[in-house]
Amino acid sequence: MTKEKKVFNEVLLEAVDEGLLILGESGRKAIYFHLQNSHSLKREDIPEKPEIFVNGLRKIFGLGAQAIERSIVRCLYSKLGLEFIERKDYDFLKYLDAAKNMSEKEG
Amino acid sequence: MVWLYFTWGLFLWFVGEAVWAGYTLVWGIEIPYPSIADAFWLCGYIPFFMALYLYVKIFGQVLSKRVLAASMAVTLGLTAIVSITLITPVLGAEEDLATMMVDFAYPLFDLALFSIAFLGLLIFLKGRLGKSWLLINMAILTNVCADMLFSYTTAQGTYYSGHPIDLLFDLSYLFFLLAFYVHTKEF
Repeated sequence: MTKEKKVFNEVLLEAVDEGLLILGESGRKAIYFHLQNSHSLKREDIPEKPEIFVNGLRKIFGLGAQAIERSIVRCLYSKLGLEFIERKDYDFLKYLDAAKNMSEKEG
Repeated sequence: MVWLYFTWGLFLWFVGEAVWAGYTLVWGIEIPYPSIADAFWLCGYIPFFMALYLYVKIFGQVLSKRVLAASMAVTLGLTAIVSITLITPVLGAEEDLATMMVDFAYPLFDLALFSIAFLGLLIFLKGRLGKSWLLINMAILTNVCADMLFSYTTAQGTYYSGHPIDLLFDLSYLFFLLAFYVHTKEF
């Protein structure tokens, strides 16, 4: 794993931690517990398997998962110093890819 | 905060039930209407509304304006049905102002809860929390029916403690119980 990728993954984990706080501390713990139990996804593995993370959220919250995804993406962009522009054709994974590409270019 | 408000609301409803049971089972007197029990029941709607509002507010941004408008139309339609159904019997009963206000307050407060709970259902329908929100909506709609029938029979002077419509209130509590159980289990 390159240094840039390692840094990006750490920032993404921080953004996930902060983004999930819209559910409160106990809500965040419940999400991590649920992801580990139902999807065998540990918190540390989220940057490597973001699609499993997103599917886990959608299975619990349905349409409501979008609010959590948006909260995480906003945190991520803010931490990377990138401008967050909301796009209707973008989902969580696309925002993630875009952030990765932009931070690589800037780095 | 959400669960604190839910607990507070349910506690006030519990006190309302306890006072009602006190009138019936302990003091054995005819229950005044409105009574102290009504004050607790009506106050219970405030934290309950806050709990639903705060919960849905977190996720509300995902609903489009069209969905919000449709949801509002459903609530307004139900409000019109309830008001039209109750207005003639309640006004015709020549009750005092306080009694008339309480007659209308219950079903209308139920619909205020429904207006938020229905949004919650639309948000979570496709997820595992959808079951819980479906049960919350069923509980509130059962309460709407129960309170409407209660107000109607009270205005007609045919309501008595232990009337079959009381079963609807019990059913509503059962739906709430199941809703919170499912929510705890799924999340």
